[in-house]
Amino acid sequence: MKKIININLSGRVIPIEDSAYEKLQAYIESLRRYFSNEEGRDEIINDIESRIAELMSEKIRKGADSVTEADVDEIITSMGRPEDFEAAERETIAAAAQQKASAGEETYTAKKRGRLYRDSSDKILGGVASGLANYLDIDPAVMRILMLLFVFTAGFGILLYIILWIVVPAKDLDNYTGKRLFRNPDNKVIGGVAGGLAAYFKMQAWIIRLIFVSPLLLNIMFGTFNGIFFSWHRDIFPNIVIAPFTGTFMLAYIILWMVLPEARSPFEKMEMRGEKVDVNRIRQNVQEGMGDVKTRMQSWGNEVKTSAEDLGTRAKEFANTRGKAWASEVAQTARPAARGLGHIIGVIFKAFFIFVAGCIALALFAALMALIFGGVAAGPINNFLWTSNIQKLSAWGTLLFFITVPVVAFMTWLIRRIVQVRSRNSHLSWIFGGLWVVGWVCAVVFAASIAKDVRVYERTDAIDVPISQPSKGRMIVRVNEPQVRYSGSMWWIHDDNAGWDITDDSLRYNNVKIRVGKSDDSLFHVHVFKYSTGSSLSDAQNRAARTLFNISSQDTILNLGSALTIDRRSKFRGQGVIVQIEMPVGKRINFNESVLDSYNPWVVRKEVRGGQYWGRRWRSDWDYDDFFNLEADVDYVMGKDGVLFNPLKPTKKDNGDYRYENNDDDRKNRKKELQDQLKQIEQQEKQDSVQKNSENKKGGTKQGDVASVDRIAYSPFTTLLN
Amino acid sequence: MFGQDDFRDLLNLIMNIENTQSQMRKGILEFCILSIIRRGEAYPSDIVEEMKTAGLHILEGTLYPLLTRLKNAEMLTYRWVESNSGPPRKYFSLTPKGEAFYKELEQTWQELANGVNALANKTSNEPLNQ
Repeated sequence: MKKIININLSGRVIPIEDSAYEKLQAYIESLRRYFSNEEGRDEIINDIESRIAELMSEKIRKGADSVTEADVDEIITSMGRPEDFEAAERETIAAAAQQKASAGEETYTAKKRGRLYRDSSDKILGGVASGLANYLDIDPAVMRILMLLFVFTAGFGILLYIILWIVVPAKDLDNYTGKRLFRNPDNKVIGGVAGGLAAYFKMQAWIIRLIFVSPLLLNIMFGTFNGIFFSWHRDIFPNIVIAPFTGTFMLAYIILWMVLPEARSPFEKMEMRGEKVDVNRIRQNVQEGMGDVKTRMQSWGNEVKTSAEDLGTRAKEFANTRGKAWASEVAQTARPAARGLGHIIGVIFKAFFIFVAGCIALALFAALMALIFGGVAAGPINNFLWTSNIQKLSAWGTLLFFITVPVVAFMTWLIRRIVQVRSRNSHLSWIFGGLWVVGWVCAVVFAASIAKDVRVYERTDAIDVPISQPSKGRMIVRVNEPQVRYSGSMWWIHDDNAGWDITDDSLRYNNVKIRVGKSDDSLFHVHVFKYSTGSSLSDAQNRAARTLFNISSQDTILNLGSALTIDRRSKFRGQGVIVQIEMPVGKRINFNESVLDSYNPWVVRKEVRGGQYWGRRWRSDWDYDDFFNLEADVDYVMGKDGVLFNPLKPTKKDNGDYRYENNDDDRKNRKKELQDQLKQIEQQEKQDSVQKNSENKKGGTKQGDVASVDRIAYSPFTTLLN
Repeated sequence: MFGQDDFRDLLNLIMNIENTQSQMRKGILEFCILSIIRRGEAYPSDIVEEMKTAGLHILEGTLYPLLTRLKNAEMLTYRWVESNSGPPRKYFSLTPKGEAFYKELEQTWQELANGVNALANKTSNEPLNQ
């Protein structure tokens, strides 16, 4: 069943099928748009309409009841669609425009010598990039990419952008009618990306391809070169410079492949090659949109009018209009000022937001690159991370789908925005969405598995380290093993390689903490705690017990290992070591430079935690005791409050009130206090030794070993403290 | 230094090369149309037919704008003719200005054709003065 309607075309009444009529209308509309810039547009359209009417009349005359869709198709084919005659036609239009321009001395160049504006008709943020692109007559997409690079490589680029945004006036600029980036289906090896770029930049495609492939080639080349001849020169060759590009370029290619549309029609192919395009559909759309607003405004005006009439008297209406006029006048004067400030704030906020979002995206992207292209090769790390295959799989799934997918999606979105792909690609969002769901599943499984592994945080019982009591009551702590350094072959760990090492069957790292507390008796005591997380108490304790850490004592020196060692079976589950040194009040301790060097500041933070009660509360808050700002090769004395102090350089009592450290009185008092305390201690020691000597002289026990001497020395000392 | 002006000059140069090509194509198309119309009043679809028989394919959608442009440039004029098969038809004919323009085009074409023929038909690469 078909509806047939009569239309009047160029004065002829023609019966036509409804659907055929719609087709015809769309066709004529497309012509109207196509010829929108033509001087004699209406005449051309009229001529074409007449011709169509003639052809249709012919059909009717030959006996057809009505014009069918097929007839319209036939007519359209014979007349040609805009896409069909665009190729040849556009050139003629361009030439005509050129002719016209040169005749009026309004040359092509003159048009370009405009002022710099921001393009308010084509913008992502403030239209600065498209304005600049318009000024220089290049593709806004290219300008945006340059701008992004500039912003992210040089931090002040964002400032420049904001300044331009504020300073440069906005204007509705002509749309860019030059070339656009497409994939080139006629010249492709993989996806036609290089071909499209080549067409865009008017270069040979092989050059672009070489650029894409070169980091990979260089990487391989240098790799072999290094491996064969210069293995001892590894760092000299710029592997670290090139290698990230390999991944980046590959991903860039893939993203461009996804993002860029393929140049299918001859029209798009011309656009790709940058041949002049005069069809200005977007502007047309804007104009249509404006027309819509206009009609809406008119209807709104009518509404106002009728409601005003409803109000009653003419006088009221008069006042109303007067009031409105005045109000609008005020609003007009007030607006620019208000807008100025608001505008600037808005601009800064928006720019800041985009900048931050971009930075996050870029950082994520970089991290991903490192993880993906590094992690695949990082075999040894895998040996120490996963307690089960499910955990391993879900970890990779999480990395790949849960983290990578949104980042890639965000980059895709950004690039699509930049190159202004307008068509909606629903496949893409479905694929991203689907993969992300997979990612969520992996993430949940992974999180559950890891959570199970780290449910309990437990330590081993204190392991007593047999030590010889240091002579002169002064203990020196040092690390006698060489510092741990990463010795593997992974290129991306070039800095921050100290403090850990990994091989196929052992992981070493320097998560060692030193605590110094007050001894309950007059002896030095050293204990080692090893701690770890685990799925159960025994699991955690077993894992902790398997951790290896060297510690030994030699006269006054306490030798520490430079790192703890975890075997492959234990896996890395946050193992750590705490060396607890208990020393009697008044005794000295000295930390060798090697202690600060060996233990990564990130782990130890060069602090020794004090506090005599830590033993009782350690499980809950052992990471929250007071800081102790340790200096190397300084003799610290154990104070009676259980906190080490430096008698030569007293600072305020370390209670976190560092803000008041500049208070001179406070510091003087503290100094005096400490010196007094030291004096007291020294006096006491002297008295003790005098007492001891006299006891010895009196013919007392001669078996006074160090321990018993200390014990004797201890008793009066406790009374002093109490 | 390679300044902005140099950049524009370069762009213009590239544009001009492209324009010469399209100018030539446009010129040839115009020449063909004018030569058909010169022989007598012509209706656009007749022009398309005639060109088709000569082996030159042109779409009506391309022809109409061209005719309009030539008409606006006062090369052509037209006359309405009643038609029994549809709306009145526009029959185009040459104006004196169009005639002069045609002569010019014809001369250019002859020169071009002769030159091209002379080069294409040469059998060997002997120097001309021998």
